[in-house]
Amino acid sequence: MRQRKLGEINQISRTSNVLLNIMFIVVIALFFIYPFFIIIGSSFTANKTIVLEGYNMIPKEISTEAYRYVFMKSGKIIHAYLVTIMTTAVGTLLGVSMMAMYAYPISRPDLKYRRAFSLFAYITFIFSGGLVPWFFVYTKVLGLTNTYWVLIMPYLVNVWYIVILRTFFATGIPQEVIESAKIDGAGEFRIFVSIVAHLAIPGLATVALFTTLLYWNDFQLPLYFSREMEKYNIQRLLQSIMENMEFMAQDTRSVRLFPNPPVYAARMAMCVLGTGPMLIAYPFFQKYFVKGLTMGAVKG
Amino acid sequence: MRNKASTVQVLDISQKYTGFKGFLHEMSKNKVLYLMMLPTIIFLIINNYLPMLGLSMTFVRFNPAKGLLGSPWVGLENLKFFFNTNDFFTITRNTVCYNVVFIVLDISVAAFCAIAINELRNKRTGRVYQAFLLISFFLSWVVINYIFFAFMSVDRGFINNSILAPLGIEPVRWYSKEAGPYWPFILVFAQLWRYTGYNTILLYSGLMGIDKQYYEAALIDGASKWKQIRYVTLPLLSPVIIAMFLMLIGRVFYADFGLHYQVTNNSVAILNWTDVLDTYVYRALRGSNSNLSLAAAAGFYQAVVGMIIVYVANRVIRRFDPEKSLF
Repeated sequence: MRQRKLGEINQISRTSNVLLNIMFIVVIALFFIYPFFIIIGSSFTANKTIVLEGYNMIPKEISTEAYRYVFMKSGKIIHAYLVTIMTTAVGTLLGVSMMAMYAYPISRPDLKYRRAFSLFAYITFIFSGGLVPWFFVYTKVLGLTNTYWVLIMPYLVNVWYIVILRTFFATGIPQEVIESAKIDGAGEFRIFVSIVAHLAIPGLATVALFTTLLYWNDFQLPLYFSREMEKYNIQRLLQSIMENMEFMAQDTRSVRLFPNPPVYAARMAMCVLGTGPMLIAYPFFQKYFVKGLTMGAVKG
Repeated sequence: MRNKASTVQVLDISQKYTGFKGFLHEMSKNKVLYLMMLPTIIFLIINNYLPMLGLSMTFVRFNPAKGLLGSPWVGLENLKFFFNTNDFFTITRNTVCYNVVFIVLDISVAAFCAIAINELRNKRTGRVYQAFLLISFFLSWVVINYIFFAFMSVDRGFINNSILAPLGIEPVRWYSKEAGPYWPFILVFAQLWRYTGYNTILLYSGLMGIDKQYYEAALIDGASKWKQIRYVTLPLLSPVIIAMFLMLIGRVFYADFGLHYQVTNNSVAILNWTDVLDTYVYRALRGSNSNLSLAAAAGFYQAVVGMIIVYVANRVIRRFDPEKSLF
């Protein structure tokens, strides 16, 4: 009783509470909501309005020509989306499995060479070959230029996540559980899949979330390794549209339908289409993300 | 009970083996565990260890067609050439200065937001603010470039058309040379905009770990809210801040490629203000007039200096908090 009362007394004054709230609301409205409305508003604005008055939030003349134009060229967008979805799914599944399968053995106190193998991974924090030899390993040694596989492989393992998962396994899974499963005759791999992985789901989910975000938002791998648009993911496609509008190049059909292509509005329509799924999934992601981050910080 | 005794016995036997025999015994005993590690071992050898050997390409005139061993040895020539360019100074200055400013502002802004959210009377609104601040963290740099472009495009941008024009100010050509001095501010803003939400959550979870009794004790001693923040919150949050600081210091020689490449719209005119090691190496490697020797030298420089900084930072971490250090 006394504690609750103290908690209620010990608050900032009403005035400062109102001031802080106003500050947050203004900053969020200005920098985190307004920009999105400008993008969305512009994508629904007639191109000629943008040419005359620039990008703005409220369309003076509402038009869906940008979207009609983009969807006419939808083949490339859908393809790029499929590349993103495929690399994200395969990369996350494979990557998280690989990292967990490395982190679990080095978390086991009865594994004789666990220190050596930890060091083997941790050394990569300090020693690095840098970007240039790394680039040539993938292009010249492995010969993966312009393949789908090269959009997946380089991000499979992040040693930081191995450290996080190792801590998670070492502190979150009682050795007795593993011991008794062994006595019951379960093999190591079965113990890992059906007991350890289950107990570590919160940790695995956090790592999976980070990895998903990394693949979904990546433009660097296709920037380095993809030579043709066939192998672009959605972010790289968006970037190429921003750079040179080669995507917007006129062909006979588009000339007939759009004598004056709405290039400025179409850019923003592409931006909306490129971000849409991430923003729709955001509330879901955000919740687990915050949970995972908080958990990671507590665990160190 | 009997089973347990027998496992203990097995453990005892395994310790009798030494040397190579012990190695084989351990490998066969835990072969499943070692096999599980194999994919990542192979990955690390290819992705991390092989490029380390590749650093030797700094000392040859690298010819991709002939490979590393077929290229002629030139010793320190590439490095000398790189150190004598003007770019060497510019990109070193930019990389380090940007990172130092980012570290200071990231931590102080996030600490302010985390403490402010923590002090709000209504906890639920605090969570809503956190969710909004985090949105930008989920956007790719490509999309962020689109957003900035909608504001800063010379002839269609919101700033030139809807803010400067009504005020009668001449439009600014944001992506060209004359606007260069604005760019440090734009990049710092973009970086803060993207990462504040993320850093706020990290520090906020540190605040959650502070025992409420400290505040009650401080209140009974008559400490005002300001004094509580100054003498309870900040000192108890400082381990988290120091850990964050040292982690970021370790990366001071590496830049955020997406920030410097995408947000600048890859504009060459403003490179003096925006170019960093990562973008420099990229252009030397893949740009329209690429120069492999220069790329190798700059990459070598970044890898070696970066390595020294990480090592020192880690030694310092170990002094503060041995559990957080890696070595």
